[in-house]
Amino acid sequence: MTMHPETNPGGGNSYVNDPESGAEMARLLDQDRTLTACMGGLLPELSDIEQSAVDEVLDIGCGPGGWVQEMAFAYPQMQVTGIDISQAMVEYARAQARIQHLGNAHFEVMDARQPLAFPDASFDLINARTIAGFMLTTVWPELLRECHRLLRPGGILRLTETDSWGKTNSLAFETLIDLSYKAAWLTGHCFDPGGHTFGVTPMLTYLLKQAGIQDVSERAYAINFSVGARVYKAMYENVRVFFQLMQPFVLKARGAFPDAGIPDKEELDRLYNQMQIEMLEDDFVGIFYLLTAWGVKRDPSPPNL
Amino acid sequence: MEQAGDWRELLRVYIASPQERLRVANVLGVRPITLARWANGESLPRQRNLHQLIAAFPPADRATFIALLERDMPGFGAGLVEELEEPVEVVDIPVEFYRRVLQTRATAPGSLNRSSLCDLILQQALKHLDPHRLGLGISIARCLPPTNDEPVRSLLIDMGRGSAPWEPNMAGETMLLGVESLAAYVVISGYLVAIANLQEEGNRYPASLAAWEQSVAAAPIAWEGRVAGAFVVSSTQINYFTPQLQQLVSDYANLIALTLHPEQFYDPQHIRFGLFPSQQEQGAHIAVRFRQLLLEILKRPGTSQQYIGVIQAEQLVWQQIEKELLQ
Repeated sequence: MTMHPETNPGGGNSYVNDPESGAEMARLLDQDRTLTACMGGLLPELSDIEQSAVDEVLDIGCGPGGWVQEMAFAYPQMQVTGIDISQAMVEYARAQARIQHLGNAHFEVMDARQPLAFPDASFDLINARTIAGFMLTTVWPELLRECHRLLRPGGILRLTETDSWGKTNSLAFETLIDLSYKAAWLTGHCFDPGGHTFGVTPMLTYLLKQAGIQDVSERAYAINFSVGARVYKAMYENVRVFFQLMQPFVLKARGAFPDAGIPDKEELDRLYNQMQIEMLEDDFVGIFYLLTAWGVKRDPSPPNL
Repeated sequence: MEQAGDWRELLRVYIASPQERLRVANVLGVRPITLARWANGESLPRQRNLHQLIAAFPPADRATFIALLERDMPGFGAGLVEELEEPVEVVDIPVEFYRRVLQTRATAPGSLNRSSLCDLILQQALKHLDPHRLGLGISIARCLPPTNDEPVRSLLIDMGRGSAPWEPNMAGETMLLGVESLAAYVVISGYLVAIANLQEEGNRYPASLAAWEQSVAAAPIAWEGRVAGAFVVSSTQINYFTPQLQQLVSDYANLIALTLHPEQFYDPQHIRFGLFPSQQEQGAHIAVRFRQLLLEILKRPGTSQQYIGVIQAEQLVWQQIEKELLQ
């Protein structure tokens, strides 16, 4: 989950988790691996026939390039390009591709909220996973129209998002998540009118269709990270880093919106430590839901909106 | 085996032994029944599975297997034998990565500094040391700080990363190591050790191995003649650690050393490793005791509720578990 610079309360770089930070890089790489494994692979919903028609792939908001590298390795016949707004992420991703001899993995610095510097009909598959954190609700339609332009006829646009980074029986976890979404809502990232979640998953099919994408399908995933579950330890570590790195963003929102009910640092620290304790309890349970929506560009003409 | 009529028949012979079938399935990250289906012609492996399957074959049989595959899939094996038999091409650690590590060391919050840096280095090393995804498990075994003026008695592995058949975050590998381990030997001796074939009898070095582990390399994490632990790398392949890869293992150990604090390094004279039970025995004990003890400490009235307090609490827990497991 990363945030949009222009709406950063207080200005400047507004990623919730500083994209230039190594801690965030390591967290995103871990998250990539966990999500891919729990979803059953890189393209679990596409048939072999659909996959065999893909030559050029674009990954939007690629971060340190985990998904791109895995795709480039698994499908050596494909050319896979990742774009990210962070120069540091892109440099790191390029170095990672180099040491793995992945000549078919490419990375470019690009802002997904602006027109993308690729010719029309460049890609057979465009993928974006958990980008809601840096997307304003108003920017989604523009990005998807841009994706429509970049897709070749018959090409696939694939979006995977979550509304909440987990539903649990930990009061402290739930409180911290609520506060995170409140900060995100205040800065224009949530479709949920009450700001309790991103509210983005119910929008995916609608947004794809609005952008001229047809034959849209959906598939949901549930990742159990309760005590004893296979990914418990990985998610526990991820959550610990995530909330630690996100705290500056929440505090900035508190400064910009003093009446929003966001508590001070001392209370956030208390909640953070309480969350760790509650996640260690024998009866801790948590599930993380994702939705993938994907469809095809049939009509070469741009959507008429 | 050279008499096999097609690649499925050769595969059937190869996985006839249940142990071998399980080992190969683990290496590929598929179920043993999937291998049987491929061998019986009920389903076809994907291209990436085939690559790993070939790598899992004994080197002497690879060319035959690829030739048989070629009959069914013309063009499949072009250059593959040469590629697999060539040692992994090694490039140095990129300058971008040194920059990233040093920048993270300078800027990450203290509470995340060690874990984030180790995570970053492990993920990088995993991809660097195993570009063909043949199966690698890597971990940092660090000296567990002793209580009071006692000598160091154990190495703690609490962070690792792996490619199949190892778990991605090596969650099941958390354990304490003592004199029975290769890591301890490396810490005391102060130099890198690589074992080309763990199955061969007469290995001079102690090493505990997972079912699929075929070779291993371990390098000391040292600074100014003192040592903080060992960087341990295990492979599913025999003879995996060429001199170039050994150098890379050593380079990553030195990089890990850069991220640690001076007080985490110990004079070898102040290290006296004990003997610890097998990983299996420890696993059951740790699964019960770790969270239990950690919660006890964190809930103790007056315990500092800062994040750094959790790190300190974890250390206290490991020191207690060390006492319980020391034989």
